[in-house]
Amino acid sequence: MKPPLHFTRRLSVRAKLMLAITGTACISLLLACGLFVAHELMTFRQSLITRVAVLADVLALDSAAPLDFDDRERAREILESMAAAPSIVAAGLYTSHGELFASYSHSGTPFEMPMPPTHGGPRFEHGRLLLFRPVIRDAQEIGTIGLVASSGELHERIVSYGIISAMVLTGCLGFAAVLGSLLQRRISKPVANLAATSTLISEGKDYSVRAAVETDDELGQLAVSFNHMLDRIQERETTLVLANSELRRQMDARVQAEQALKALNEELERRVEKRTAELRRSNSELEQFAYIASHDLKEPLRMVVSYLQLLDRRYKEKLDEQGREFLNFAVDGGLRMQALIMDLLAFSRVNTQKNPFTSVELNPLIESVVGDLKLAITEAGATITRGDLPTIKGDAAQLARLFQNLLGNSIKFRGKEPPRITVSARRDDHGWRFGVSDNGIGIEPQYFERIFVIFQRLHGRTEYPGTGIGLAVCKRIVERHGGRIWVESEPGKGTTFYFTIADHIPDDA
Amino acid sequence: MSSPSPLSAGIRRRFFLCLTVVFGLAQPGSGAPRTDAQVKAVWLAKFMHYVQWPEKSFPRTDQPMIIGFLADDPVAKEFAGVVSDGNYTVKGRSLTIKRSSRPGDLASCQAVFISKTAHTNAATVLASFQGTGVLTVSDMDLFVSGGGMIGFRSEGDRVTFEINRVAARKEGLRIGADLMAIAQKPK
Repeated sequence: MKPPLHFTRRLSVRAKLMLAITGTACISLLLACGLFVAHELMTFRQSLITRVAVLADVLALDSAAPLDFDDRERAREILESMAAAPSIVAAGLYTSHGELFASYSHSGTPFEMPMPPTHGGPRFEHGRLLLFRPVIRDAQEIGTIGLVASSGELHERIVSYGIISAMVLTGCLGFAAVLGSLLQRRISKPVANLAATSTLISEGKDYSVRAAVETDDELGQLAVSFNHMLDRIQERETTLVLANSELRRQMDARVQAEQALKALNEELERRVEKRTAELRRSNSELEQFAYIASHDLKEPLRMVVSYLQLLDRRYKEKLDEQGREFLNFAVDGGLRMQALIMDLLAFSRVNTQKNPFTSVELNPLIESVVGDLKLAITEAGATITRGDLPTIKGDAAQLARLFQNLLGNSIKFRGKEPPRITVSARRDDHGWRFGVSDNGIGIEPQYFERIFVIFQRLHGRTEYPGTGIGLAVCKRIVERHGGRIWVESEPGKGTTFYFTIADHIPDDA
Repeated sequence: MSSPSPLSAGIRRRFFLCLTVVFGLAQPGSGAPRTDAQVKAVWLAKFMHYVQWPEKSFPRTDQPMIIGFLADDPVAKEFAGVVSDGNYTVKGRSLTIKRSSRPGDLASCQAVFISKTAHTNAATVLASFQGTGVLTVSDMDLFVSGGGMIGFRSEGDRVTFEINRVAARKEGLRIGADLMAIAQKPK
């Protein structure tokens, strides 16, 4: 902001009004005086020129004869008549050759007439007017008359105009000030009252105060509008107070509801925790039971099978055909039960008998698994290829079982062609993704989820032997390693099992 | 080419100088020292500017102004020099010279110069111009007091003149006040 604005900002309305009134008066008076003086001076100058020109013309008329008859004395007499004109400082009469024939200068102001006389219009030089007129006798120019007039009168006039202007200005300003102060009181008083009222309201927050309406003009309207505004504000204030208390009540209710909800949540969480603990306990009891049951079943079953086999070996000849068949059924059932118990044990061992995680190099691990499966591979004429596999963190025994189960499945569920199995690995954001793909019989899409559930079999026992636990075991192992397992397949074309192994294993693994 | 170049301005100034020199010759009143006769001749011509003749003196508007000389004196000779180029005009009229030893011949002139070398009697001559409206000028002594209108006087090397306005008025001639102001008071 500019400095003048700073200055006027601080002033009261009263002072501003006074300033505006006197300022306007001052400027207009100055302008009027200035214009008047300028006009007067111009007029004066013009009239000076006219007067001097008339004098010069008169002198020129009289100067013809002295010039003609070489009478310098008479010429001087004529010029000296200018003594009656105090503004004429000097006069000169020139011959047609431009020689100064006679001259006159006002006493006390010696003046050298310019030589030769200049032609052209009148001109002002150093505060003096120089004017030349031809001396004409009988249409012949026989000389020149020159007059020098002082414009001292001009300066006197300027001074006197200045004094008059100053006096007029002072008088008018005084009058304007008195009149202005009377007028501004009528304007500034209501404004000041209004300002006082607004201050009272803004400081006291008392919206019941009203401004006094003293006039019917804009200021009166302003006061009325101000009062209307106050009415509105008061109304709004009342509404606002009501709304505020309502809001506070609602807030309180909400806080209470939230607290109740929180308490309920905590209760729920407590219950869930309790239930989870119970579930975990019952689950581990169940697992323990399954393990113990299968482990304890193993021994008597082995005995049953062993003795059945002994019976078969030693007393086969003594049994008739039907007896031998029954014995075969019994041995077969025992062996199957043994396999079932072994698989069940393996399934429960995933969580009950786990080894701590170590660094596992997968390349040698796969080689060893392939070695274990050598018989089945040779029998099926399978080809197993693997990409370069990484070293990961995990339970080596369980990982070996995982690969063994998947490779075994691929060999078992082969089609007419010899199986071609590929093991591959790919880096993911959070770990590794492995794939085991084959060209086997494939799986219908509706079974993609079911195959991972324990005891689920898709085929008859005679068609493809198995207990229906292998993939459930795989799922458990992968989940223990923080990953997931899924299958992609097309019946008749082949199957790919994918599973992921996370870099960071969950704590309870 | 509204504003002249310094060269053309110089040429113009020189041209004006020539003009004023020529004009100066035809317009005495300044310049080199002149003889008594020269001054009288020039002034005689100039008197014509300051005198107003009655209308009857000029029957025709284009009529030249005739100056008569009673004798072939030095003033007449100088006057011939002044008007010889025909450029000298008074109120639009050219000046011509008429010479005669008999005053009666010069009655139709507008002005007559009576030289003191004519050795005539002023009163006789003046009597012959009575009622003719002729301006009488002379360098004879006591010419003006004797009824002549303008009389030259030599005071040392300075030439002055006297005027008898009453005599002029009688003949219907009006002599300008400015000329009267220059003229010497009659003794």
